[in-house]
Amino acid sequence: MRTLTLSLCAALALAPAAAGAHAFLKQSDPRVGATVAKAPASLRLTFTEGVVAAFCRVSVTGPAGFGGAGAVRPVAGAPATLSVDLHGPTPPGSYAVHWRVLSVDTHVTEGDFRFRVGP
Amino acid sequence: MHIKLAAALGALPIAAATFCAASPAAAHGIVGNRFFPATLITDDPAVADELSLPTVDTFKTGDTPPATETDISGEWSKRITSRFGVSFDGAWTDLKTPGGDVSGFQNFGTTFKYLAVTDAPHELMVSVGLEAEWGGTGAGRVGADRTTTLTPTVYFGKGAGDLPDSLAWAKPFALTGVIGYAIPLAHEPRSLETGFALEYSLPYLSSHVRDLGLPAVVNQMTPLVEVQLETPLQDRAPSTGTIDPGVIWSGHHVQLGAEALIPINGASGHGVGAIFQVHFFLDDIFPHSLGKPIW
Repeated sequence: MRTLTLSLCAALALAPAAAGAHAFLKQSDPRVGATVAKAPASLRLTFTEGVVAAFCRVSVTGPAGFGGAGAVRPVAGAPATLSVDLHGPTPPGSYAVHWRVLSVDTHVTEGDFRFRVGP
Repeated sequence: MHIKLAAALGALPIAAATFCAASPAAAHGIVGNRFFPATLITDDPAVADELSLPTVDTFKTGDTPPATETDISGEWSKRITSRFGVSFDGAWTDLKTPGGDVSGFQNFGTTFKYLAVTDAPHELMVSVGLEAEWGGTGAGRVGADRTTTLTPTVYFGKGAGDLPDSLAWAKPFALTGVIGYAIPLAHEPRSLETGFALEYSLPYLSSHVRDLGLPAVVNQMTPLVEVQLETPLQDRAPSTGTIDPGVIWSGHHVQLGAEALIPINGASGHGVGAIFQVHFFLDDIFPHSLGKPIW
């Protein structure tokens, strides 16, 4: 029983070398829930797994007067990172980000977060 | 990186269809922003391809004098469709009693589960299922019953992500639970099997509410308290159960969990026991074969 269990666990532990996984948001710039003095020129989202940028969507909504967000762009050399330009003007206020991504193993995940621009 | 890039290119046609059609609520305990980790004692509401192996627990029984019981168990869950799955479980028990040691398998079990409700904005999942413990498949010397028991069960999970922003700190909370009505297929008392898990998801906190800059290993943890109760319905025997505080760490392909087992009364056990679990996400490990629904 113990040998069987250990063998199965070892096999499963080694198997992920060729597999992907669900992509969850690992980090963003600006950070999730942060307040920044000035809006960045672009938003960067880094996920826990590589994503297929062509099939990823990121929408950003902000206060009145916000110029809107651009298309999702991959980041060279960082397969788990997406970049989205924030078009000016970017007035002070709360910004809501919604992402929906496709990981390299075809799992779809989505999520929301906010950040704030201003004092 | 090359492997992932190749996988991405090869999967593009599938990816396009998947992205357009798939609901993120499918499998892996994900609904909207919420990821419900697989809890150690009470079953979570998700229908998923996963393997819990091993789960090891040890505690002192409620007998007088108490025996020291150690269980090594496993459960394999397989999706038939994206919303319907079946699980197979078994456990090996070692009992150290004052009169000597005995060991053997408990009855084997099978669970059929259907994911009935998913509501992403409210982070809600509800499933219905039927759990079967096959009487006589285990060893009577370790307490395995000779009677088959069927337990219709409702499973639920609710995240607090829809709370107002003024209560943002509470959004990582989630509650999962099960309510089952155990029906032995013989003249034995029926019972109510209930359990729930109150969780505070640090992954949710860092990804959806506020990134505190904590180390990655901490951001993958979910502290929780599970409670399990068995309440006899046709005799005056007391309810038995445990309160189980602990923590789950969720990685990309595997999850590790540890909890204390605190009996609620003398009939439930003596002293504090412990449970540990290694849990594999088969849908991530084998996404194109073993880890996807059959249909």
